[in-house]
Amino acid sequence: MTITIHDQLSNGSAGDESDGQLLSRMHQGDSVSFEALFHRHYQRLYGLVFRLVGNRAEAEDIVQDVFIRLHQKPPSDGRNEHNVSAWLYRVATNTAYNAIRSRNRLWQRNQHLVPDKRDSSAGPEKAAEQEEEAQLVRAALAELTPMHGQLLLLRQLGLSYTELAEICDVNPNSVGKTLSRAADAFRKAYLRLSVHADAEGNNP
Amino acid sequence: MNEEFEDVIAQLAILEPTTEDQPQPADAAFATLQHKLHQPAAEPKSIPWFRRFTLMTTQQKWTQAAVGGMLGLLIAFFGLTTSGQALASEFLGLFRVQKFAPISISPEALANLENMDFEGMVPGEMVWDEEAVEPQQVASLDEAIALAPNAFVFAPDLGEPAEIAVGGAGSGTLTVDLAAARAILNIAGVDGNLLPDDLDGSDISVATEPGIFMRWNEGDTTMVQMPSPSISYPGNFDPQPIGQALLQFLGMSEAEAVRLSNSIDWTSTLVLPVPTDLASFQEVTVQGNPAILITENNGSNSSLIFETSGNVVMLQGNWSADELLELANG
Repeated sequence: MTITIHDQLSNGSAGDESDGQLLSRMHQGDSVSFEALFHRHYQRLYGLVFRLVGNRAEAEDIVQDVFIRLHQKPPSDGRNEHNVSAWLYRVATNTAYNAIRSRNRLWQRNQHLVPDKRDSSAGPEKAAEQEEEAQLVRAALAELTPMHGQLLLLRQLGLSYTELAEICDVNPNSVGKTLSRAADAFRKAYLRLSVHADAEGNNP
Repeated sequence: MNEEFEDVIAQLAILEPTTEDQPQPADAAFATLQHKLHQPAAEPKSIPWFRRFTLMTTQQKWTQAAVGGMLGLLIAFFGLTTSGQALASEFLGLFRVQKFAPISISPEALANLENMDFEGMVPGEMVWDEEAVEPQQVASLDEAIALAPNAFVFAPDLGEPAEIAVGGAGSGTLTVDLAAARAILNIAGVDGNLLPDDLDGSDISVATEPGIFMRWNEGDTTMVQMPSPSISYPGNFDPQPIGQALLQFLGMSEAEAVRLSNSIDWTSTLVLPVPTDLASFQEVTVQGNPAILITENNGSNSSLIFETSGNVVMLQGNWSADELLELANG
């Protein structure tokens, strides 16, 4: 009988293994393990990256790049060797942050060119307001450290403190405190940017 | 967790993907990934580093490439950028390329750098006032000179170029994140503390004017000429320890790096790393200007780089060292 990769993934022979075990097998050249890691993390990584970059094609490209890097240079012994999820989310977050920071200025310049797509059934004015708010939230996130931004977004994605501790490489006992600091930093950045945006709105 | 925290989490919900923002299904995405993984690399590993350097100049990475030398570290791990307000009052230091310092680096050091995984780390926030775009093809040299009036120095006697393009203008500013910069150095095995504390938050700006890019079929010759990029930095910015870090980053021992970094004028010198297993270099004269000639060890390809009247000129092709020199000197 021939067992395909999909069979192995669906019957759990790869799905039951930890990330660390899959990574070890990847190091030995096992392509099934790579595919298992992809399927395990793809959707959630996309969710994280999309929230940061706000663009489907760009988010898909970034996630693909992350897995290309995993394939070409998987994290090796000595540096978080078995915490693959921490590595994946860190690389994805850093890459997304690079993307948003480098084009932040461009976005600000061209805000009026961004097509409205959010809840357009609510009317163009409402959709425009939502888009503006999303950009403001994204700009505030871009001012945080990548780790703070990542923590907040993953929490918003519904991850538990235990999962956050593992993925963000944070001491489980300090997740709450770190989240609180991240939220404070976000609120301050958001407030500052809102004031700035209002001032610009009043002085076109 | 308090109410304010929950408000922030609720506020972030606006970033959730809508129905139309959902990604392609995982199976399809994995198929796309497999396709990408099995595509041949766009740039074969066998291309020597110095040729990649010149190749970069034909792409939008020119700014980074050009800047790479002096605060070459700013290229290598500071990923440099810059600002059009290069001479604003808060900037007291200014760098322009006036000379070149070729340094030999071992193949191991080069391989280490290429294999190093910086995990998307950037040593600060880079903001482009004007992002350098890919060179745009033009119909004639006259048109190129009209678009880049300060760039043209000369053209070798090879007839009409097969391609002429103009581009590379850009300006932006890097605000240094010291912790990130140190982390990158540490990954490369260099003591991050070489970078001084007061570097944190410094604005380092670079501005490039448009350059002219030419290619001839004969000898697969390419030429880039453009005004030297200018890099401005705060007055308290000491380039020496950063230069030392750059040299160590490129594989030099600490003692060698200290000695050399003390002898280099970091305000005007572009460092050119040359891998010893692939190429050799020598100092020559081109049209009366000191120049660096880099020749591949198999003799099949040579590159020349020099500065004249504030312009940087690079000429490269499938020529022997003597042939390329003759071409450059007319």
